[in-house]
Amino acid sequence: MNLENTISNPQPTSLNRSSFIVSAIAIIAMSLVLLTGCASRSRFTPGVLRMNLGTEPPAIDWHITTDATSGDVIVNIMAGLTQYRKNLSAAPSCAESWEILDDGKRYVFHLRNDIFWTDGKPVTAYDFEYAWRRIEDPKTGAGYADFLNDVVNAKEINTGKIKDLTQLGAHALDAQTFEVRLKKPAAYFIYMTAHWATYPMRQDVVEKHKDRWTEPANIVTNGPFKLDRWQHDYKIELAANDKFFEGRPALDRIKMFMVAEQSTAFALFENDELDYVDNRSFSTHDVDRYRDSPYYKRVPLLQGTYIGFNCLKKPFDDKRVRRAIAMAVDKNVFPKLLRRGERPSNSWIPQEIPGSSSDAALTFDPEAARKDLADAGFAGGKGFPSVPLLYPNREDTRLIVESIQAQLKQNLGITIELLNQEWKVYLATRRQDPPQLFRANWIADFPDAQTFMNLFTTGNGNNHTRWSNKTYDKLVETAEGELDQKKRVGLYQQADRILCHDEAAIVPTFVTTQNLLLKPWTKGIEFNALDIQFFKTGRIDDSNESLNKVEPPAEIIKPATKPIEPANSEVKKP
Amino acid sequence: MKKVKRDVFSRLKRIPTAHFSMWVVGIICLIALLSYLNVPLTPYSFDQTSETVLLGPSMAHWMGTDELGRDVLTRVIYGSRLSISIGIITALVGFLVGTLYGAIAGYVGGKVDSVLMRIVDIAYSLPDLLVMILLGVLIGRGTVGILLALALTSWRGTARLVRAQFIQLKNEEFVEAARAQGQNHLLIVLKHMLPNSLGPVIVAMTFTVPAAILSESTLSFIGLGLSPPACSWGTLASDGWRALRTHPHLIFFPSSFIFMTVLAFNFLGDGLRDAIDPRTRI
Repeated sequence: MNLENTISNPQPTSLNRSSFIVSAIAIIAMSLVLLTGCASRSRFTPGVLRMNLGTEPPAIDWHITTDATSGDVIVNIMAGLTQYRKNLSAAPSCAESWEILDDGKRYVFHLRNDIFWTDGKPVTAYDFEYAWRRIEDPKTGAGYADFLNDVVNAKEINTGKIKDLTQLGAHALDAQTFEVRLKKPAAYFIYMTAHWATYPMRQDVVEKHKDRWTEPANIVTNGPFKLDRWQHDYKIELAANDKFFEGRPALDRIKMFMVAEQSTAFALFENDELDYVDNRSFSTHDVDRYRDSPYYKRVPLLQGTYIGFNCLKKPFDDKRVRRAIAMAVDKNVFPKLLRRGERPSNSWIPQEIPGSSSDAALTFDPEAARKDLADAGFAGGKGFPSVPLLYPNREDTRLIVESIQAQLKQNLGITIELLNQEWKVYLATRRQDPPQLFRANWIADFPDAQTFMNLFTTGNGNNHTRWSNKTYDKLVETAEGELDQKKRVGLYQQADRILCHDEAAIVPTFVTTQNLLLKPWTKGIEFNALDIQFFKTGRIDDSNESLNKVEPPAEIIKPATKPIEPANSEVKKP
Repeated sequence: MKKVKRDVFSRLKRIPTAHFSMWVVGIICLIALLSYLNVPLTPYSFDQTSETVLLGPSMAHWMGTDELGRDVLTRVIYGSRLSISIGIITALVGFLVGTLYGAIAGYVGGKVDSVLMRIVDIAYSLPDLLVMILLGVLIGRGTVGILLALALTSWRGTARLVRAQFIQLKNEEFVEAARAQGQNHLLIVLKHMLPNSLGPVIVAMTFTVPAAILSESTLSFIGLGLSPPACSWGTLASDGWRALRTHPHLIFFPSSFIFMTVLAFNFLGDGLRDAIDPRTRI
């Protein structure tokens, strides 16, 4: 009966149609709910850390590369003689103990016998010997070759004066003992053995695969993780190394994405597709929004930012022009622009490190700047060429260089051009043919003034200013060999003043702070003032205990800078 | 001819959207012109930084300030200079090149026509954005690169349009009459055919302007535009969108100007088409 009615009556048909639409909408809505429900359930995968590298690492070969992005990968797949503790002192790693002999001029490292490469072969002192010879071999073209300048014959081999690599003062006495001879005592030397430039390397692997030895299929490493996949310009995947000598790390897998755009990366983080963000993905605008979050953390960094001059190119071959630029830039503006805990620089050595002083650099003085510029023949900025200022393609650097451009125009009446390049291209340009002005930064390799001051000595591979000053070189060299901390600090202060005040080869702008925002499930990652992110202690899980949350707001970490006294040539046991 | 013009104008005025758009376009072009002549419309200079960064709109700064403390209104006005001039220059270049090209193809006809038109087909098959990016890389950033890139893609439509008009007009009786009188080709084209084909071409031109403004914004947005501190609406929007969630005024004002201008030009083009076409009733 009802059935007949429905058929004969046109009204219910339309009802049927509308009910069809209603049910269709209901089905779609339900499936949407289900889908989003699924998404919210898998906000993270336990044991898998997803982070943003920000850019493709130029190379993984730890002799070729000098940049921090590559470092982030290398420190997690390799282990060196020593490693940094959280307070930045050197702790045993591959070496279980070491002796300091001959008034600090000879180091003997005793290696553990239970360390293996990812292909199962043991790590021996010969692997260190090969690596140290390779980094000094001029054929390698290592950016960090100068790093080991204190080692006997290192400089001579690197500059080609000595052809025989075995003359290098670093020898494997046997498979478990590695001996290093230094030209002069160096208070900071033990820190260097924790740096990735001094990591061991496998001769057979490098020689077999040549340029392609760092490809995931070829590379052999000894660290907590191994390089599993490398999809260029997209992501790198690391997998836990079951055979790691300190024990298998808690994380199974690390996915390192390469998202250059800060805002894109931050959107990924907010969408639960990254487990934490740091400065690379955390712009000022986003910091403003999360300033009060319990998961927001600040870690001071020993990272100085500066404007470099190419001191061989006109008009910056004239130090009056350089001084004029230095005095025309108000450094107090930068922290206000970036608002991420930056500190304006009064010297090239950051204030946390002994050797820094409050008045080493030229201060903001537009009057004096205009006078110096006029003395150099550019009164009122007239006749000043339009020089380029090179900067890498990162959003926060644009603000800084635009501000400098505006300040120079306002205070000196000169116009500079801004030249923006992608990270790899920028690094290559800076190395091969640095333009008149460039923005650069330097993160300490170890917590000592040496890492900042040696950078600008004549012939240092990372001294892109091409500036050369005999007095400065001499002061830095003396300071490096000086073991009396007080005298050493004095020498560095003098050198700093020559660099940033008298000669103004660079304009130190500010010291950065690492800004971090973590997901509640991201725990245990060690962030230190050297900006080395060690993932071996990291965890991704939803246990209630939240290490990062309860930690007090980060303070300035006072790095351990006590020099190792040569008198007590002790044997350190872990 | 004068009467025709007056007629078109009065017909245009009868379309409210077009009439209103005419005013909007006029005002924006005037602002751009004044900015070009360096007439100070605001108390600030476009690259003048200050301590007051990221202020919202206020009495002192009607559109607020940006990350470096620069007045956004001043920068939007300065940006109009480039955005508008790029729109107009591109349209003019497209008009001149396209008309010449289409006129030759349509008037001469035969093999010349097929060769010329195949070239247009090829030019059409290249993706615009790709061509612009390649050119941008070759020539480098700056106004010249952007202009050349846009001009290179703007003439093709006009060329096709003019050619079609010419083929149609070629066989009209008044053209035949002129030819019979022994007038030379140039005179026939300039005096008889061109004025009669201009209507749709002018309409097409008014549509090229907003398209060019948008293309410039796109190029600037993806980072191939001007280098700082110079700015256009595109670079302003590109710099501003990062602050979308905290300081939306940085993207709101430049992009609303892009939106307004593009919309006004499009309405104007629509109106012109209706006004020129004698068959539509207004």
